[in-house]
Amino acid sequence: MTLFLQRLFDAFDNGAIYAAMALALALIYKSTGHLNFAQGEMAMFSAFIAYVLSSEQGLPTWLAIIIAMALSFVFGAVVERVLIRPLERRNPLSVVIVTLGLFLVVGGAAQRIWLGTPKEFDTPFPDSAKAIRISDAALRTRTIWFWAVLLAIVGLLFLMLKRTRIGLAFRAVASNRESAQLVGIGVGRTLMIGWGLAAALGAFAGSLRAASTPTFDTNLMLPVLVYSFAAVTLGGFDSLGGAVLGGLLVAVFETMVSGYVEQIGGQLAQATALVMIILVLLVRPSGLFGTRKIERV
Amino acid sequence: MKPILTLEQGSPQYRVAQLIGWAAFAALAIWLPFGASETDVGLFSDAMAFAVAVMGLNLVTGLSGQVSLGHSAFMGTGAFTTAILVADHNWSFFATVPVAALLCFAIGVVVGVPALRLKGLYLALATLGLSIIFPKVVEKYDFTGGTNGKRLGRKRLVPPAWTHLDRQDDRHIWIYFIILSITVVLFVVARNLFRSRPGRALIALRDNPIGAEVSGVNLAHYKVVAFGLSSAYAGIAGSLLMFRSDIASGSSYSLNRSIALITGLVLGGLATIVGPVIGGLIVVWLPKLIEDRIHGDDPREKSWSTIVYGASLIAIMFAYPGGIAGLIHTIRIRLVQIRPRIPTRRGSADDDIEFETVTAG
Repeated sequence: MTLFLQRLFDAFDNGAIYAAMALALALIYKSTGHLNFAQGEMAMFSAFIAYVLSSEQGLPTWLAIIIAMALSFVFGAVVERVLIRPLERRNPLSVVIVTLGLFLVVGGAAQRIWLGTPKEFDTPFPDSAKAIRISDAALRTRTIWFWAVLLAIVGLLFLMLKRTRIGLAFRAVASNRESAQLVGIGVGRTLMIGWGLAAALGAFAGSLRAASTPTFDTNLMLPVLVYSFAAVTLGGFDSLGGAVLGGLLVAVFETMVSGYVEQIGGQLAQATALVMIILVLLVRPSGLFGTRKIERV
Repeated sequence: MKPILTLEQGSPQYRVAQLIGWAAFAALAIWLPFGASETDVGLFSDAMAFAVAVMGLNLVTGLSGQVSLGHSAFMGTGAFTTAILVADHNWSFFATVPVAALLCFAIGVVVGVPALRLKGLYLALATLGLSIIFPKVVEKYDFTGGTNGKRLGRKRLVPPAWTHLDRQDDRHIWIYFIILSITVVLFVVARNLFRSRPGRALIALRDNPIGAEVSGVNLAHYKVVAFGLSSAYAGIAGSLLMFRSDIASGSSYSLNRSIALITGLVLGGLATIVGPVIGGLIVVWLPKLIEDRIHGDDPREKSWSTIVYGASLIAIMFAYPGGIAGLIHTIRIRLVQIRPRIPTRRGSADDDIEFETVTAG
């Protein structure tokens, strides 16, 4: 029982990171119908920026993360405007190809700058090393902080979507882009904000990931990307809440399977993401909360 | 601008021009292993193997508009199949190729069935998982050589005596011709597939899925078979790489390799026959050309090839989505105009029959 509980708590740690990344992916999917394959590499780059600001420039870690998130917001918005929008009208395949190109450029640039010695990144939260003991299983303070901040961000995001004009515009664009344009909503600007928010969320996920591993390098987000794709598939691509829950469930599934099935172990843990994706596609392609697509001819 | 030459399709002049083109191409391909250095011949052999993998990707991306990020894993499966069967079970190199193809076809179908019955990017998602776990799987088990990779040991592809190429110095020429012949056969098969009934069905699916399905095209069935074939091509490509290499390692079949194949295909030209040939050359030569320009041995400098790959992928989507094959086509129609054959009807019975076959074809 203790072991089970311990594994569950460990899963919560990764779950927060997967949830944040999945939320970023779902945000873009909901508004544009595209998946950004470069999301992970962009998040990795942002984590390195936070690292440079805190470790090399001496800023407090939390401030470094916030600045990295702000810079990522700008980068995400620029990517939408410069790379995605001109191609969007052509076909979905070109957008996929461009995000793959971006994957290579951002990943390659990070390797060019930071390849070599693994970097250390401090956690921004106080008392992170401490843990609460629940029937001998340790729930780390870090994990509680991760979820507290993540849920605060999710709460803010929902407030923004439901209570502000920008949020209303975002929902209108997501629901029907043409009609939104006809009633005078700045579709382009809204999409830029969506991509920017996604990139900022990615930066948050990247920083958490960097803080939760002893050292990190440019491969930081590649595994996370697969898990978060599994998470959005499970949550239903266009459901933001589903993405968060999906992230948590995927992390639990990963930790339990690699913990209890010896053949999988730590090395093949990522196979659980693939299995999860295929299971969801077989059983319930629209995910837990996704809207089913009905097409009229 | 007026074209320099106007040819009517099917006319004797057209045939002659076509023949000259193919003869020049064949002459170049046959001259190359004797004229170029051993290293370069080896790289061209690799480029042909990669061209097969890119053609495989073309069957799924070009024909059905779906992206596969798992072709590195299929290539890897092919390479490891050959390495294991040759090193541990004393198979001949050639006998391993169909095994690699069948194995990859089967894996392709297993992944394709759940992912392809749905519209959208599901294939990309499932195959992304495949390419990320592939290196981990082969590094975990002993029969795949663990983290060191699978070595062929002393087993090599040796040219038979009648070729007079069995000296160590000439082995690369034999391997070149073997890979060339297999590549040519696979390209002819792919070309016919593009023009066959299933090929046209797939193109219809890509361009208007609902319309195609209403016209009686079994959407999922065709897509799954196309993806299986596409995976088999990648498997054969991996197998062919082992004709020359003496080690298969998981790290060379990572996600980046899959994206490199996509880059090759898009730069070469999607949904064309020439595109994958150019793509194979790009996948092999582009990193080489960039690395040649790198001074010093800072490992970080190697990432320039990744950056250039990505940047050219983005640039071509903006500047020339048809790829290099599309560019060549545009230049060619400026220079040489090819008129489609206009069927004539002169009243004789023979002509009538010919007219009918032309329209039917």
